[in-house]
Amino acid sequence: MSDEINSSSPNNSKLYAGLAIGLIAVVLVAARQFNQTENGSETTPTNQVMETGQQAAEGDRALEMVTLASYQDGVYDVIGEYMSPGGAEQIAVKVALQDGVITEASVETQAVRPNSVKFQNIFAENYQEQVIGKSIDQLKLDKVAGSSLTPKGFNDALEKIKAQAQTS
Amino acid sequence: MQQTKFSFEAIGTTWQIDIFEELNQAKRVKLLREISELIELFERSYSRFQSDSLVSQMAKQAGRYNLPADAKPLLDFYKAMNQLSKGIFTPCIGQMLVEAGYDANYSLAQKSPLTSPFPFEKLAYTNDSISLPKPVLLDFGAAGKGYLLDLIVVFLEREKHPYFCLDAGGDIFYQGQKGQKLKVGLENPANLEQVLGILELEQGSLCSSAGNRRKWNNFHHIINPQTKSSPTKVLATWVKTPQAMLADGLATALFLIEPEILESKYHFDYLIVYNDYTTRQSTGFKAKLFN
Repeated sequence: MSDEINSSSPNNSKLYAGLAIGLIAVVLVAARQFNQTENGSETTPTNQVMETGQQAAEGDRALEMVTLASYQDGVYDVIGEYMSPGGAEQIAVKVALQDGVITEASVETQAVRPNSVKFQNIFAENYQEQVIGKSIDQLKLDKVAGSSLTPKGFNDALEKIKAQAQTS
Repeated sequence: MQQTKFSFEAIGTTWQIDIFEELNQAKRVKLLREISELIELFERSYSRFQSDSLVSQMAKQAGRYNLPADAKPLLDFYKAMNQLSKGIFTPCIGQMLVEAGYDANYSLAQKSPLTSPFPFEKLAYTNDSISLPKPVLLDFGAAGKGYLLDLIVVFLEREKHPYFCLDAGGDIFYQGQKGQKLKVGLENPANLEQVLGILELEQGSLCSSAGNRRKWNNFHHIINPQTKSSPTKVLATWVKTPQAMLADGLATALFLIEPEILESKYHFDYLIVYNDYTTRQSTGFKAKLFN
């Protein structure tokens, strides 16, 4: 996956990530309605995207944490429509849901206008899955590789500085 | 299988050395003593946190200094990286780190405006000596620990201990018996109770660098001498190579230099986690990441 744009302008990549969340949320609403018409379910469609406070604060990180309480497991393949300055365009989004969590997502560009093709390609190339942490207790590991344990002197110094900042 | 385990503190971090064989008490004591001596010797030469070390002396006075027998490969690596990075990767960064507050006393307060480092290419060295036209504080923080791991590997092999795992505060060198892989968690720098993924290490070194651990004010332990600031785009890096010096140095370098540039000279596998938790991993890294 290309990182060219991501690495040269982190702000843009955030924008794309945010766009990705937005789009996927929109598509899921569409998917839900589609799903509903199929099985005739009557559950209320509102309020299905729930985020915790912290995740909401870090909006563009929240993709993997978005829980969709009342969706069935499965792969949803949906065309999203939006209005570009030149007119209507489409983008295809595929998401896999398991236990109410998006486990996979991909996008496919379907634009016709040159500018829209360009932007959708940028989006598709920069849409990246984000990693999340898993508790070490849950895993059987031989070792953990990380940045070197912070030198003790460094930690002590930081504590001292914090204490000074509080008293002054 | 019987194992011999050593655990101790050295060069400011916690070490865990596992030798995959049974050793009697006398051999264990001897081996641990010899490894400790090797580490102490290394610090006396290359640590800027020891006031009487070789690099601390070099920071006080210009002149010609005798080098230990193991110095040249380390200096050669820094020289090659210095050329590749057009001066960004340099051991002469020591003075700038001190000015920013990362000194031997950990004052963690900026002392003065940061001054550009002395050009590394102006330091002439041979197998056994180095000449300084002016006092220069060298910092081997980027690759020194990895090189120390390599020296311990050479020592253990020479002493006929072929299978072992060295872990110096999360930087690892592993040589297991055939087919025995090491299952390594990749620490989440933002939450040390978590890992971001798992890598199965067949053999060789896996080293990591993270910017949010040794952090103060606007700086962390890596400073770009050209921008005079600490990089913020990269959150953490992991590098896998057969040689620990390379793995350690390249893990630091990935904060400063795009991987393509480093790949033009070195064969290595890597994972970069950016500050928005997106990732980039080389095809050979093959970690299982949680997302």
